[in-house]
Amino acid sequence: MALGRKRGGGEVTLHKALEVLALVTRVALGVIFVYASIDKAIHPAEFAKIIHYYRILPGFLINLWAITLPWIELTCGLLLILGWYREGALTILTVLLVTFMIAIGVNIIRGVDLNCGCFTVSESARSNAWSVFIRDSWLLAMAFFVFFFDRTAYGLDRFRAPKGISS
Amino acid sequence: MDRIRDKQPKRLFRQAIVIAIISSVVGLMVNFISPNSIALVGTWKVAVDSTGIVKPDYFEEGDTLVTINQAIAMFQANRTVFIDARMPEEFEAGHIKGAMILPFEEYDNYVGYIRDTVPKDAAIVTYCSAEDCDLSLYLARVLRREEGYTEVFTLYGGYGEWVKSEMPVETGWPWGEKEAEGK
Repeated sequence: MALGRKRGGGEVTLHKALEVLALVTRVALGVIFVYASIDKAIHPAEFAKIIHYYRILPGFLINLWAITLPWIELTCGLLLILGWYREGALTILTVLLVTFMIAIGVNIIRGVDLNCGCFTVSESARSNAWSVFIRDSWLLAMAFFVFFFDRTAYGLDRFRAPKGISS
Repeated sequence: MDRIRDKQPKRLFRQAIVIAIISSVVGLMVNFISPNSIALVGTWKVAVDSTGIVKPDYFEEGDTLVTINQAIAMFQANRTVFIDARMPEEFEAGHIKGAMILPFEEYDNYVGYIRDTVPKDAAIVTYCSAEDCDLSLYLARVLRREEGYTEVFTLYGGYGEWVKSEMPVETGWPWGEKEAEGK
């Protein structure tokens, strides 16, 4: 375990701080995605309508995306909170965030102001496309930070077979 | 080292694919039993006309959508009645200046006032919150078919477009404390 290594005092403190920050970030990211998934998972019809207005996916994929995406977000969010299969969950969330940013970016270029459908399917929850884009960039940065600094010791991954882990 | 960066990319993607498949299957199963379930493949049509309007899937023959620019011209000509189809709380929080309220979901409570004050040949523009909101189209249909109004339009993009265009808005109830109800 890295914790047991001998390091200079300052280095240990800095590493420890980064690791704790990564843990907090990981749990926060998980909570955000769980929260984001719930309303969409409950109201797939409304969510499908929002996806339709993005005018990106072909018609036959819209409902399938509306049915599955909230559950993928929910699962990844829960896995991040638990610290279980973090690599897979982070990879999915990174791909999703990049996809969302491309979708929003395309509509910013088109000049279409749409309901982002990020956290809720409610019509009154409209937000500026740029602020959604910036928010997603922050989430992406959080995902990368977790990817590089989060430690197995702080989650259920420590109980998994240590295949591929050197210490 | 036991940080994630030590993991093999192959392993990382394998995990991602397994998680995506399992959660998608769960989503499909939940959709199968849920009361809110939807068809796996929907019917989505996108029709864009020359004004840049994307006709929504609930658009029907006889509906007339106007763009924000057309609505602004009508507003400035001062001969059009704007009718807000949203709920009273939303109307109160902000609406097109001079607009009347006729919440589609509380139609019977409010329609009397419209019947009494708006002549049947008046130009009317209904609106709700945004382009993905259907209440204004439904309201326009009822005004046309049941109330006998002849010139009913619906603002494409709704109140959201109006605000974005920095056109005049007002808050509260222009005629006093919720007097319209029951009129």
